[in-house]
Amino acid sequence: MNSLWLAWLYLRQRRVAAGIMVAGVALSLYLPLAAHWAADAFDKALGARAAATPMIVGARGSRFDLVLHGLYFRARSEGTVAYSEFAALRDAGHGRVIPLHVRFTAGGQPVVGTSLDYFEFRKLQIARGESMALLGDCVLGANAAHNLNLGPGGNLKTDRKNLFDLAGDYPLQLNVTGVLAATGTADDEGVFVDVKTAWVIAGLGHGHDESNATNSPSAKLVKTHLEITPENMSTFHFHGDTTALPLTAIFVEPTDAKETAMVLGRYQNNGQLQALKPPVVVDEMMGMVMRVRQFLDANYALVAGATGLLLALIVALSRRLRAREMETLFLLGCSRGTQFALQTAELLIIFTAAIVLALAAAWATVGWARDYLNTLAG
Amino acid sequence: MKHFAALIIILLIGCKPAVEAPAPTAGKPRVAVVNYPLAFFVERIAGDLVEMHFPAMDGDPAFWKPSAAEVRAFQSADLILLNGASYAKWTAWASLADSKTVNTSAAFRDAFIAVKAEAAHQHGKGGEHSHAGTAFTTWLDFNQAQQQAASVHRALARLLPAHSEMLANNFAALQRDLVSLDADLRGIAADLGDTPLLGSHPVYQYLARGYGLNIRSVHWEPDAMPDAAGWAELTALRKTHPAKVMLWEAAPNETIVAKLKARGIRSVMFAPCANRPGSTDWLAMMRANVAALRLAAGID
Repeated sequence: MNSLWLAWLYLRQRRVAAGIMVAGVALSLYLPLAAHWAADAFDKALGARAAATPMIVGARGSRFDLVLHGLYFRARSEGTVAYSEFAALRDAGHGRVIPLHVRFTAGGQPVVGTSLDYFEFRKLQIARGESMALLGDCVLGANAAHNLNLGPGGNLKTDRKNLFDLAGDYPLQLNVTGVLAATGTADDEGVFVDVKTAWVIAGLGHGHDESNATNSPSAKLVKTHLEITPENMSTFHFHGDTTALPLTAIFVEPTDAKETAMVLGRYQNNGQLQALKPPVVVDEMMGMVMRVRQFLDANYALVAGATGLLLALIVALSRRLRAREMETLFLLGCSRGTQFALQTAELLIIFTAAIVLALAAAWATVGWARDYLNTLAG
Repeated sequence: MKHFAALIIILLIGCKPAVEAPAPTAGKPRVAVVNYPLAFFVERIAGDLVEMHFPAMDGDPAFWKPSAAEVRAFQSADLILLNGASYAKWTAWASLADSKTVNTSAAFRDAFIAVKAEAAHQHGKGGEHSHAGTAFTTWLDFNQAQQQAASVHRALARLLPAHSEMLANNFAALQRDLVSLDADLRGIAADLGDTPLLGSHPVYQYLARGYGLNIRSVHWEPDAMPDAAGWAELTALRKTHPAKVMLWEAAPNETIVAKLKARGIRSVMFAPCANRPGSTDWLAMMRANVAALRLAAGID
């Protein structure tokens, strides 16, 4: 105990040198620790969301793209699924079926066209306000509400996909009815609307404004955006074959293994559509990430070895520099064993402080970056 | 050490799920319906086992325009029964959970009758509407009504698995009533043959097709005297369709009845009963419809 006390006093006298030693060791431990924990957190976040999504159906193309589109609302350009496919899956009684239409953004946040079943499927709770009820209503994810500085009763306009397409889609004003409780997932970023509202944004459905029914000049003729109001809501409709309206993906939650096999079989030889199990696809994706991590681990082992050798050299040089000090201690009656104990205690304090510092820094880093990690796939 | 312990506690708190699962609903399951025929089927099959939600609707429920709060009342139900065939136009612009929603006419959706585009019209204060699109009074063909009742039964059996036997017995009794109505109407239709009939409103498409009745409709309201154009339309129609009986959705104004009688047309109430009647029920109304038609046709 005396050795530790004396070592502590010695290090306090040489704060700068001791600080550099602690920082050096801590840094060499921090990097692999933080990288490992961050990869684990990412793996868990991606894995948990995938595990909660038993099956996704979408247009054939990149499997990774389809799964990331469904899990993280990442934009996808490859094909669509007709609404009739959703209706057929729902009527077949395989289990819960949820439509997804993600093509647009509002204030930079993804507009997620879906049904109320999505909220139950993801166990999302309304923190403020109420659920969407009518065409044009939207519910904001926690981060979306924060980023857009909006709450129940507010409104926002969808972003135009192409500013130069004058005849194209007009922004639609969305009415915010509620804000979801934070979940730490991609749902926090979404602007959730009914899939019918998403089709209106896409220009597939429209209403009629009676005040524009004449050729007289009207301020409403020079519209910068569309609005769905209680007055014009009943005029909104979809032309053509409504069963052909597009979805970008369909979530399926089969009731059991048999229904899972039935859904997979349904799309096995389908040239246009594919059914995927997100947990399997994400495992495959993370397998690639893990191979990169193995390479990094080997790199960290080499760095740790080099750091260890450097420390050994520093200790050896330090002993040579302190040779006269040790001789004086010996002459004062301090045994060689006590001198060794003193120097060991100094190293123990330095390593303990470095480990604590590295753990704290790695924990703080991963905690701080957790939200960022959750959006990495998006 | 204290800091390390605090770190562990914070990590454990961080592992707690961010959102709690919704609490299970207590009490009777809530069933929401969009019209009275479906409400009647639910009442006959499930009785007091469910809490019915069929809000008061001014006018025809097909053209009801609910507020957001009224839509949310539907959303909170455990089961939402739709008539289908584009009935309850409001469901096209409302958000309802697919998993809770059952379209009771899905089994015969391929047999829906398309209605040509027509001018919008108004009933009282209910606002303008049009019957263009798909004919929706599906239950006036009692064979289709049986299929809708079967769909209601299946949905209720899924909702109340512990009461399957009672539901099946109640459904069988309802089916017997519907089969009896169907048989009675078929007998009347056989006697009527190709006799031309008039409909005061275009709501009898499935009745006409289901029983081979020769019905053509005008756009009249029971409480509003038709204008000159309306009477002219009737005169023109009777040149090719010499009907002596006009079917009405509700009891028509006495002056209209008298004016029609003067032209040799008898007024008969054949109510679709889409909204809840005051003192009777759907089955009694349908029996009264059939009896009135039998009387009008001069059948003993």
